[in-house]
Amino acid sequence: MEEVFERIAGALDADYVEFRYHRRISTSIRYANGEFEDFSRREKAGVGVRVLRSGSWGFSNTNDTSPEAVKEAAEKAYRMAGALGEGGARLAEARFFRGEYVTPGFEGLLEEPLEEKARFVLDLYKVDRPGSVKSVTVIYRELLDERHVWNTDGANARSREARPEYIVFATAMEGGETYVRWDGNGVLGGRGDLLSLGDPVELSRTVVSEAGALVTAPRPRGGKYRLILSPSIVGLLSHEAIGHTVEADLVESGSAVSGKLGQRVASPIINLVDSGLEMPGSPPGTIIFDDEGVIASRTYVIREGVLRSYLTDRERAARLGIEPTGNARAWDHSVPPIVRMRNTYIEPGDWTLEELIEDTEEGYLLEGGGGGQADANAEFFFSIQKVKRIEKGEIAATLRGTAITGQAFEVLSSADAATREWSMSMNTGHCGKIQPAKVAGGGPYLRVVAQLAGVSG
Amino acid sequence: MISEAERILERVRGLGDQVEVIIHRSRGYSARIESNRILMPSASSEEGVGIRVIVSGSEGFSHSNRVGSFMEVAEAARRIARVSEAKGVTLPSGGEYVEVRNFDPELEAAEPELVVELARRVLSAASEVSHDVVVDLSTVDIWVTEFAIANSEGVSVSHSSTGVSYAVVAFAKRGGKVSSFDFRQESRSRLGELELEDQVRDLAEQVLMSLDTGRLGEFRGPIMLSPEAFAVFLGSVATALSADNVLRGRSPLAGKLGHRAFSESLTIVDDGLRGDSPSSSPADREGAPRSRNTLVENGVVKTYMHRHYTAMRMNARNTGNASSFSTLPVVAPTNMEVLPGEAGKEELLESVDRALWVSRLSAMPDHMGNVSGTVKGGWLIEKGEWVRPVREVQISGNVFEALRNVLGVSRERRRVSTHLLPFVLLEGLSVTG
Repeated sequence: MEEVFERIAGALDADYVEFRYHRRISTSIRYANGEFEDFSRREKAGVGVRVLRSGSWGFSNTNDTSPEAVKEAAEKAYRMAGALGEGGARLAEARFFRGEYVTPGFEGLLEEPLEEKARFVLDLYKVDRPGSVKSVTVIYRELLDERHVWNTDGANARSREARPEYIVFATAMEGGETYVRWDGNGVLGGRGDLLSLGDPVELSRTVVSEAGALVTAPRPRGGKYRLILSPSIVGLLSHEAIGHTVEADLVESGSAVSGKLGQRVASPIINLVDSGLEMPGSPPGTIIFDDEGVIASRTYVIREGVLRSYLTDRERAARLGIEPTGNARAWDHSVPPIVRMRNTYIEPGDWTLEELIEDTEEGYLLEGGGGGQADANAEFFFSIQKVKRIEKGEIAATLRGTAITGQAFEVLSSADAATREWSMSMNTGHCGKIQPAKVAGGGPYLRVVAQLAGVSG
Repeated sequence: MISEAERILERVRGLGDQVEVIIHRSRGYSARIESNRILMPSASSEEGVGIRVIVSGSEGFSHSNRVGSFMEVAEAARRIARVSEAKGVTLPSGGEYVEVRNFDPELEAAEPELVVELARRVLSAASEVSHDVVVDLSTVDIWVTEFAIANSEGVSVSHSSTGVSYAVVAFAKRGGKVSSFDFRQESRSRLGELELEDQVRDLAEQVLMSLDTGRLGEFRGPIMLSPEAFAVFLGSVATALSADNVLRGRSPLAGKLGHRAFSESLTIVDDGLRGDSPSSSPADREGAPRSRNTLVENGVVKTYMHRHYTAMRMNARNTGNASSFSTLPVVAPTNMEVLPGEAGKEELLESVDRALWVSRLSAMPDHMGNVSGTVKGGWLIEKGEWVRPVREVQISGNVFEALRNVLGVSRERRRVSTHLLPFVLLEGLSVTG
């Protein structure tokens, strides 16, 4: 298609033209209460065109990929850019991807019979459940994406990417109490890559049995404690509470870290990374190149406690005087790219979890990040599925989930130990900033001081 | 468009016992605002074909954004129906439709530059109040949309509508102090109906008021939810009133039909026919007639929201709440309304010794209504006097419990998207300052 793109772009009197062809085949299955609540397949394809004209942007899309329709879309984007008159946008120099990246396993998932996808879900549903577990829901989602990003600055990047994922929810009810436990996994890769992260049936068994065990468990007391956060909570904190504040669009609107590059923002043991490149476990935020065609970076956001970089697209990189990091992402062809995260994590330390627990006189080990919210000022509130009380260096009791709250940079400044055990474990995550995006998060077990909320003391 | 849907139906009806074809097309323009700057005006056009095939009581669904690929779509739907398990699904056969006039020729004929003009109106309304107000991460949209549904049981219906909407987010910034953000959103079918300036001015004043916050300290008393904060609670009620969730055992309102589940002052209506809303139409996503339904009357649950399958399973009247063209039908509200009370919001505040004003609530209740979250734009109010803005206030409790303890619903109402909501004074939530 690049000849078509080149010809259309050449006919416009624009500073920059970018075409993104994107085709997605998605399969969704949701099984609960003994029936398929959803079983569907969707296909979406088209071209998104972005034009920079006299320093102002315009965007347009079309689901018709014929040269005539793409040309018409480009002309519309050109007109939309004209509606703003003269603007100040310009683009930083960047390293572009040229060639094709194909996820192993793409073809396998594309050709896998629907019966096998259904069987995968049913196997997870049919695990034994204690009497208190009233319902189990299994969700399977699969995104098969073909992308082609071409622009007048030299990008010509193609990919075929597969992202399968599953989630198991178990709801237990007993003695007037309701408790929901969930977990899942996801990957950039094929069926084999997903299975290599751990046995899904085993995960389902754990979720279902823990729901039953924890529904009648007591809740922890609220208060400020030494808390050991598990990798999924470290991931949630890194993404929601830190990551969003370093996204260049939010930096420009005055987030908690505006103007703080080079300053200490966390404990010296904190190295926080956002990476779109291949890494162990192939988490689903791996993108190789972004939707401006820029080669994705492995960016140290925080290194040894010091704020080192924001996450940015080319326009904001130029304005902020930093290198583009390959963080411009679009959910599909119909929307323009915006600044998004990829795989966001804190690097491991040198403790073992056992040592960390032994070293904690009194506190809690928090497992299983739930949902959460955070503001641009880095104040956050996350729900936690499972809590273990630590007394005199030993696990004294397993309790029901609660919530954790605080200001993320203050919490990371209190961090004093991180483990060697490390994982990406937010692999079923979708970030919902304006448009959805597949992201992941993770890290080591991290000991911090923060507020356990929502339960009276 | 309806003849196109019927032609496709003729081609694919042999693939199952029952077959449904949906076609939808839309085009529109949008613009974004970040940090008081208008960015990226966009033009968009989309179409789609969704086909549901039912084989021996089990259903399969597939969708594509190219209507021309309907044959592949129908084949995929048939394959899924065969793999899926039977649950006795059928399709509706239509009914009496009420005419809905939510089409504005002015919006249909609008030039793309109109969205830029609307974005400028947002910015000038905010800056008229104060230059310390920053409008951020906001959008304005205009669109025209059309759908047609035809099925093998005799449904044949189509509808065109227009829409204009904004979602404006703003915060205030003065001398190194930054307020938390707040938002307003409104969605209308006609350009002339938009209350854009009033809403944005009110938003700007609200965020300016929450600049100099202090600690709340010890607090006991009711809280006053703004329409936007109340929308979080109403979301839980709508989820619980969905017959999908009742059938799946996920609703705390299961078994509550005909019972008083809320305070007497609460009457909640869902109206799929309102001409001022772009979400309205004569038919729902399955082609069943939409209607105006009182869901909760003076605190008593009158009906759940249904689609064809749930109404059949529960032996109830179909309220016409099937939604979502690109997926299997799901139950969703259309345009919700909470009927107004008699007292004004200031009178309600004067009626209690102390109250906590909640402009925005950062919280996500679970499906049982358990909620804990953070109050944004909070104010301490004593005997109707606005004492001081407060920060770092947490609330926790249960939405359904709190809605049994409503002290008053205001006369004033505000549009939140297409919903029409009052200020609500209630107790029963714990507040930690």
